[in-house]
Amino acid sequence: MKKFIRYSLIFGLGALLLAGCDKNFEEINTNPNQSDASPTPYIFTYATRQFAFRYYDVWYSGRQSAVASQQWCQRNYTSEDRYQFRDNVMDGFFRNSYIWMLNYEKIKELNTNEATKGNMSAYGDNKMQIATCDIMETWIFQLLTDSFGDIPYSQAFDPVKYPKPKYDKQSDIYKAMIAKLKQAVVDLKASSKGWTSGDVVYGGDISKWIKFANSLRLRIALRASKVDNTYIAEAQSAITDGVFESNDDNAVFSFIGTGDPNEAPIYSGFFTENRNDFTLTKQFTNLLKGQDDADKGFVNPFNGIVDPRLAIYRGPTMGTNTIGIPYGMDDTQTGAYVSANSNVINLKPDTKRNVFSPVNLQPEFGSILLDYPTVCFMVSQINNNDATWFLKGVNASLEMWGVGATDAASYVTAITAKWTAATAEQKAEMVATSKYIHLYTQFYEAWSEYRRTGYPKSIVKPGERTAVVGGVNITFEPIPGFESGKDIVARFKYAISEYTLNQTNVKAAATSMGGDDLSVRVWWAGGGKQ
Amino acid sequence: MKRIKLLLLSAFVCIGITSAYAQTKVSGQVTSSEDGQPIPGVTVIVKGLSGVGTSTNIEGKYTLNVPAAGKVLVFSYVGFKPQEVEFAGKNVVNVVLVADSKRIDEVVVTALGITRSKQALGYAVSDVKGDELAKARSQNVVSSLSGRVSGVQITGATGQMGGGSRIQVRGVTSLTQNNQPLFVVDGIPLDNSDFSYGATGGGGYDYGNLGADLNSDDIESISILKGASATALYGSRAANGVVMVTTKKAKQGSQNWGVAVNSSVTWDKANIIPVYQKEYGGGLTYTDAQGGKNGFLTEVINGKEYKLVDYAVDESWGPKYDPNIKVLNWNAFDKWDTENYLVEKPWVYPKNDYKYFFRTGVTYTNNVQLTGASEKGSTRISYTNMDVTGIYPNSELKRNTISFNTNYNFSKYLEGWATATYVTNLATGRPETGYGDRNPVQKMWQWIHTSLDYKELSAWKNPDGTQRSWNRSSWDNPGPEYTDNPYWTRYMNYQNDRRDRIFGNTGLTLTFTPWLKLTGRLGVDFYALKQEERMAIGSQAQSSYDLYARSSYDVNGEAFFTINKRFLDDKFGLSSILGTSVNDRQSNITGGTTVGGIVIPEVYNLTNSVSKATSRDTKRHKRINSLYGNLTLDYNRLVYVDLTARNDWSSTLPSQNNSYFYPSANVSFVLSELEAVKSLGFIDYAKIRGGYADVGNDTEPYNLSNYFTAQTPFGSDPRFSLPTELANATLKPEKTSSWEVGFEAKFLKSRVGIDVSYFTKDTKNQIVPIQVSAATGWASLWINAGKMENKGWEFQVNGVPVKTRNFTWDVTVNLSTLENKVVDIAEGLDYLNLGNAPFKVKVGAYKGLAYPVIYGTDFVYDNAGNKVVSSSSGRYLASAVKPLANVNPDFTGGITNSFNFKFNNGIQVDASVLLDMQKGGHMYYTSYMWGMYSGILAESSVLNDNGINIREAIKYKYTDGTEGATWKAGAKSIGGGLILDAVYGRYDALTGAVTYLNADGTTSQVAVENTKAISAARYGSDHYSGPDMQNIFKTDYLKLREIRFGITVPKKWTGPIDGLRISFFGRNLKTWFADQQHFDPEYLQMAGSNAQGVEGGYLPSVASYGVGVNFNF
Repeated sequence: MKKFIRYSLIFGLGALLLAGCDKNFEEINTNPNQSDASPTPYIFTYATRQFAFRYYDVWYSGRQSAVASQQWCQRNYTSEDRYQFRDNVMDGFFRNSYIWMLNYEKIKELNTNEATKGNMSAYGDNKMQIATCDIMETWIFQLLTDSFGDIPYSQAFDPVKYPKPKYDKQSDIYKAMIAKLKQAVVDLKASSKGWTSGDVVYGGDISKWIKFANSLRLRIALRASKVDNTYIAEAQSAITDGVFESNDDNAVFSFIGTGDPNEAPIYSGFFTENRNDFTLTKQFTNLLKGQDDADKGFVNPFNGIVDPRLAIYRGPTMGTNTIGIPYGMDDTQTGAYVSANSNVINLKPDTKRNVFSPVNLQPEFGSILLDYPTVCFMVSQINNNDATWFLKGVNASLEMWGVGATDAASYVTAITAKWTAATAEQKAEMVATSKYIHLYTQFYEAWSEYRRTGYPKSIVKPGERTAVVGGVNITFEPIPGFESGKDIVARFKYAISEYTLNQTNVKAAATSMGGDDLSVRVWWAGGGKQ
Repeated sequence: MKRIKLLLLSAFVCIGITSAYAQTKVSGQVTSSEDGQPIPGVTVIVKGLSGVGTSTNIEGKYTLNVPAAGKVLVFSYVGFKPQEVEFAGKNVVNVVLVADSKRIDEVVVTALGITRSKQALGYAVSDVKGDELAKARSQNVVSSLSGRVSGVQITGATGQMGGGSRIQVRGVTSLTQNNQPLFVVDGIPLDNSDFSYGATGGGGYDYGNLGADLNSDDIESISILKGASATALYGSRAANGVVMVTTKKAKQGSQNWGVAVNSSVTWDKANIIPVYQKEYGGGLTYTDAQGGKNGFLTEVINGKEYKLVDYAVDESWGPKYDPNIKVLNWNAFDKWDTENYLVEKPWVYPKNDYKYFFRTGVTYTNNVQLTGASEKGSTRISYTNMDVTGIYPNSELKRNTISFNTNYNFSKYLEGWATATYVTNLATGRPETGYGDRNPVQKMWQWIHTSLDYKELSAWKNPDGTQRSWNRSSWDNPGPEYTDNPYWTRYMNYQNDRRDRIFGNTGLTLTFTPWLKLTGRLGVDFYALKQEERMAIGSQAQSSYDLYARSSYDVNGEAFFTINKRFLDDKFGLSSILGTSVNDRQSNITGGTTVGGIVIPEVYNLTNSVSKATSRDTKRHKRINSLYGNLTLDYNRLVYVDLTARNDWSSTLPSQNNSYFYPSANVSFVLSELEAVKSLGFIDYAKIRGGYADVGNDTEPYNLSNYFTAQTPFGSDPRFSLPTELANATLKPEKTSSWEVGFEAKFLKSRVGIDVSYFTKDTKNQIVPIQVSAATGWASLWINAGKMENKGWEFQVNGVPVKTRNFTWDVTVNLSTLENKVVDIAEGLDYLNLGNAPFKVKVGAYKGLAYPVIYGTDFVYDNAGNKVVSSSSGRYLASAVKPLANVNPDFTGGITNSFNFKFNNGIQVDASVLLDMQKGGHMYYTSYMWGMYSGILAESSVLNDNGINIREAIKYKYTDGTEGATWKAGAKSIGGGLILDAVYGRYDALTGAVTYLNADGTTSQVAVENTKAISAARYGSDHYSGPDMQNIFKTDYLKLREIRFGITVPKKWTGPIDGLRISFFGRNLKTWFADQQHFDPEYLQMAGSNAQGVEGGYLPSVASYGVGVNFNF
C-alpha cells in the first residue's frame, strides 16, 4: 500500500507539472475552415459580383436611387420615395462599398508585394491586375461621391495609419480619379496577358478594359464640366484615346441564372424574396408614352411619340392602357391608387392577367456598369448636343434594349423630325431626356444626370402636383425632417455610423459642404443649398 | 467479460469478508428536539473505528453493524450539537438531537465541486435547493431561479416553447464576448451555448440555451458563485460567475433502496398580449373621391357590385365597423368554398379574434427515481419524461432524461464514482421570434387586419393544397402580397430539431491519510444537434430548406490534491487544493441551404434544391491548460485567510501572450466566535468578509490572423472574400478585477438572518473587435481596449416571523442594486455598436453610460423642455442619433413567503408565494412602432381632446366662424386627428440648436404652441418616421412569479406509499407596473446575445397553472 501511495503521489505531481507548455497550441489554433491565401481571380470575381449585385438590387438601387430618379416608385410604403431613406440600408451602402473595395486593394497588394507578385502573375500581368482593380474602384468611387458629395478617398484603406480617414473634396476626388484612369490605361497598354480567369466583365480582354477606362474618364469629365470647363478638354482627350465603339464593348456584369449568387438582383428581389414593391412612375411612363403631364404642367419633348422601349421596360402585357403610379404620394394615397386602378403597371408577372416579366426582371439580366449608348449621348453633349451622336445614341439604345428594326426606324424618324424643328435648348433637353430614358435600371446615373442637367422636366419637385385623384390635388412633399429644398433630393445624408466612428471628419465635411442635408448640392451640381 | 466477472467476484468477496467479523446490529431513529420530526442524513459513526458508519434515511432511521470493538455511537448533523451515546448491549438506540444555535456550520458547494463550510468563505455564495425547483417545475431550470438569488438577473423566454433563459451575475463584464456564467455540474463544466439566432429583433428561432438540459428532478442544489474570488479557480470561463449544480445522489450507507415518483401537469395560457383597437377594420379607408363607398372599394362580380375589404394592404386603417354594411371577405372568392363564396358579411369586429390563435399549452412531466445504497456505495437512476404542447398550433417538445450515478468505496483508500446523464430533445414547430416571415405574431402585431376571424383563417388550405392567404394581391389574385396565413405558417413552414446529449464524469479519490487526498476525474459533455428549417412551396417567400448539424465535444481532465489538517490543539487549520486541468473543446457545424427554392413540394432535403445547395462546414478547436492552487488557513475558526492562484495557457492567444496568471485573496472574520459576542446571547452567528480577485479571459479560436472566406462560386468561377474584421496577432488576455466585502449574521435562535455584500468589478484589456470607419476598408479591428465597471449591493434577509410546533412562516427577501458603466471603449470612440434593430435604432456600448444602451433619435426639445414640432406639419422633429436609454435594470429583487402547517392527524400543508421585480431598464419595441404605423394597437384609435376619435376627419373652426379641413391662423380644432403638445421650431442636426418658429414658418423669439392637427394615420406612421423615443418603454415590473400549495398525507393512510404530496402551483400569473399594456416587460430576444433591449416580434408571455403529485415507495 505504501508503494502504491508513493507512486500515486509521484503520478499526481507529475500531472501537475505537465500543464503549461502545450506544443500543440499552434496547431490547435490553425484555422481548418479557411485559407489565409487566395488566387487573385477568385477575389476579383467576388468583389465585382458584390458591386454588380448590391448596387443594382431592390435596396441600394430600389429604395434609394431608383426612387430618387423617379423612374420607379413603391407600390406601397413609400417612405423612401419621400426621402426617408432607411438608416441601416444607407449605412450598409456606404460601409460595404469600402469593405468590398478592400478586396481590390488586396489584389493590388498581392501584385505589388515582392513575395507574392511572382505567383500572382500566373493569373495575368501584375500591372494589368492592378489597372483593372483601379478602374473598378474608380467606377465605385464616382458612384459614391456622386451620391454623398465629399467622401474619404486619399486616406482610405489604411486602418493603422488612418483609423479615421479624412473626407476629401469631391473636386479633388474627381481630379484623382482622372489620374487613376490615365495610369490604368498606360499600364494596360504595357500588359500582354489579361486575366486568365475570373474576369467576369470582359473575360480577360485588355483592349476592352482600355475602352472602359477611357469611357469612364469621359463620364467623369463630362459630369465635372458643368462647374469646371477644363474638364471639357479632358473629355475630348478621353474620346480621342478610344471609348466604346459598339454595344459589344459594353461593361456589363452578366448574371447566369436562378439561385444565389448567379441570379440578377432585381429578379432576386421580385422572385426569391417574392415581393412586388416597385413599379414605373406615372411620370416616367407618360414620358415614354409621349404624353404631357397636365398635373405638373410638363410638356413632353417627344410629345405624341410612343417610345418602343416602354413595352420592354413594362414587359409584355395584355392591356394596352397600362399606367404608372404618380410619384411621391403617401402610403394611403398610393395604396388607394393601386387598389382602385387595376391597370397599374405590374412589373411582376401575373399569369392570371397574362402579364409576363419584363427583361430587367429576368434572372440573367446584366448589371450595366457603362455602355456604348451612354457614350454616344456623352459625346453628343460634350460637343454641344451634336445631332449625329445623339441619333447614334438613340439607335444604340434601341439596339441594346432589343427593339425590333421596324419599330426602331419609325421611332428614330419621328424624333428626328422633332429634332429638326427644335431650338438649341430643346435639343439639349432631347439629348438629356433620351439619355435618361436609356439609363433605365442604371438608376444612380439617371439620378446624377438629372442633377447635372435638370432634365427630364417630367420630374416632380417638392410642392409640385403629382396627381389629381377624384378632384383632389396631390402634391409631392418629402416627410418632415427629410426635406430636399426646392428640387429633388440633391444628395444622400452621410451614413450614421460615421457620426460615431469618424465624427470630426464627417462633421468637417458636412460643414464645408453647407450641411449634411438632402438639399445640399454636390460640387459638380453647383454646390450649396438648392 | 472474464475480467468483469473477476471484478464482481472480488467485490463479493470483500463484502463477504467484512460481514464475517463478530458484529452487533444496532438500529434506531434520530429526531429533532425542536419539532420532534425525524432528521434524515444524520451521520452515525462508531467512535474510534474509522470506516464504520452510516447515515439516517428519509424517516430518520438507521441500521448499523458495529464490530465488537465499538462502544460509543456518535451522531452528528449540521446545525445540531453532536451527541455521543454508549450503547453497550442495546440493539435499539433512539436519539433526540438538540439544535446548536451557536454553531451554524452551513456547507455550500464551491469551486471544483468541493463542499466547504460557509463560515470559511470570504465571498458571497447563494444557494437554492433542488426541491424548490422541482416543486413548481418550469421547462428551463434557469428560469426557476428568478427572484430567488440576489445579485443575479434572470430573463426568461416569454412563452417560447423550449425557449432560452438569460442569466447575468453581477452585471456584464465583457463588451462583446459571452457574458453568461459558467455552468458546472458536479465539478465539471457544462456547455450552456445558445444556437438561437435573430438577436436585436431580426427573425430567427429560439433554440434555448443548452443549460436547459439540466433536469430539475435530478438537482440536489444550485449554488451561484457570484464574485471573481469564488470563481477564480475556474479561470477564464468563470469571469461571469459560476452556476454550480450538484446532482442528487443516493445517501451512502443507508442500506436501503427506494423509489420516488414526481409527476405534474402544467397548463400554459397566453398571458400578456397586445391590445388591439376594436373600432376600425383592416385595409385602408377610401374617400368617395378615390372611388370608395362607405370607405370600401367596389367591384362588379358576376354582374353585381360588391364592397371589398382591401386585403392587399396589410394594415388596419379601414372603415369604422358598422353591422349594416355588408362586405366580401378574403375567403369569399373561392368557388369550392360554397359556404362563403360571394357571401356578403356584416362589417364587425370578429367573433374569433387574434386570441383564438393561441391554444392552451400542456406540459406533462413524469419522473421516477430509484435509489439504492449500502455501506460501500450507492446508486441512483432517474428517468424523466417531459412532453410539451406549445400555445401555438403545431408545436411540441419531448424531452427524455436518463440520469445515472453510482459511487463505491473500493477500500478505505480508494473511492470511485461515475455519473452520466443522457438527454434527448425532440422539438417540432418552435415559434420563430422577432421580425421574421415565419413568426405569425410579427404579422399579428405589426402587419395585419384586426378584423380577421381566426376561425375562418384556420381553413388555410385549398383542396388542391395551395395556400389561402387573407393578404390576397387582389380580389381575383389569391397570391399572398406580403403575408402568409398564420396557420399555413405554423403547419407548413415549421422547423424541427433534435438534440442528443451525454454529459457526466467519472473519477477516483485516493485517501493517503485522512488529511491528504488525490482526486482525478474526467468529464465529458457531448451533443449532436440537428436543426431543420423550412419554407414550403406556395408561401409568400421563396421555398427553402436549411439544415444545421452541430456536434460538440467538451472534455475536461483534472487532477488535484486536497489537504485538510488542523494543528496545535485544533487551534490552526489548513486546507489546500493543488491541481491541474485540461479543457479541450471542439465543435463542428455541417449542413446547407437550398438555393433557388425546392423542387418537389414537401420534400425537405438538400438534394431537392433548384440550384445546387450551398454547404456549410465549420470546425472549431480550443484548449486551455491550467495549474491552480488554493490555500485556506484559519485560527481557531475565528479568522480565515483564503488564497487562490491560477495560471491558464490558452491556445487562442499568441504564443508570447498565451499564459496568464491571476490570484485572489479573501479574509473572513467570524465575530460570533468571540466571547464578547457570544455573551450578548442573541447573536447566533456573525461574520465579516472581504476579498480581491483577478480573473483572466482569452478569446475565440482563429482570431489571430486574417482568413479568406470561400463563397459559393459564381457559375464556375470560385469566389474568395476578405474578412471584415482585421485580426490581431498580438492580442493579450482580458482581465477582470473585483473587490467585495460582506457581512452575514443570524440572530434570535436563527429566526432572522442577513447577508449583505458590496462589490466592484472592473474588466480591462477587453478583447474587442473595435468598429472603425468603414473607409478604412474594415468594419472592425481586433484590439485590447475598453474598460467596464460594475458595482452593487446585495441584500438577502431571511426571517421566521412565526414558528410554533405546528406552524412555520418563513420569509426570504433579496434585493440587488447594480451600477454598471462603460468607462472607456477605445481611443476617440464613444460608441461601440453591438447590433441593429430590423428598422430603427441600434444597441451598443456608450462611453460613460450603463451597458448596453439603445441608440437612436430622440424628440427635439427646446430649453424649456417643450417638444418641438415642424411648423409646416405639426409633426415631431427628431434629434440627431444619440444614446436614448439603458437596457438593463439597476435594481432587482424577490420576496418569498412560505408557510407550513401540520395538523394533529399528520397532514401537512405548505404554501409559498414568490414575488419578483426589476427596475431601471428599457426596451425598444419594433412591434409598437409598426403596430401604430399599421393602425393595429389600441392607441391608434382613441378619443382626442374634442372627444372625437383621432381617426375621424380633421376639422377646424376659423376666427370668422366658418369651418374647414385646412389649418389657418387662429383656427381651433373641432374634429378628429390630434394636436401634439409641442411648440414650433427648427432643428440643426449638426449643432443641436433649436430655433423657435411661428405657425407660418417665420422665426419667432418666443415659443409658439402647436395648434395644427395631424391625422391618426400620420400620427401612427410617424412612430416610424419620427423620433425613435416614441417606441421605447421602461421594463420595470413586479411579478407574481410563483405561487404553490401542497398537501402531504401521512403514511398511515397511504399504505405502501410514503410521503404522498399533492400540489397546485402557478407561475407568472400577474405582472404589475408595466410601462405599456401590450408586451411583457420581461422579454428575451436571444439568451446568448449581449444586444438585448430590442423587440422585433414579441411572442406573448404565458401564465402557467399546474398540478403535481409525488410520493416514494
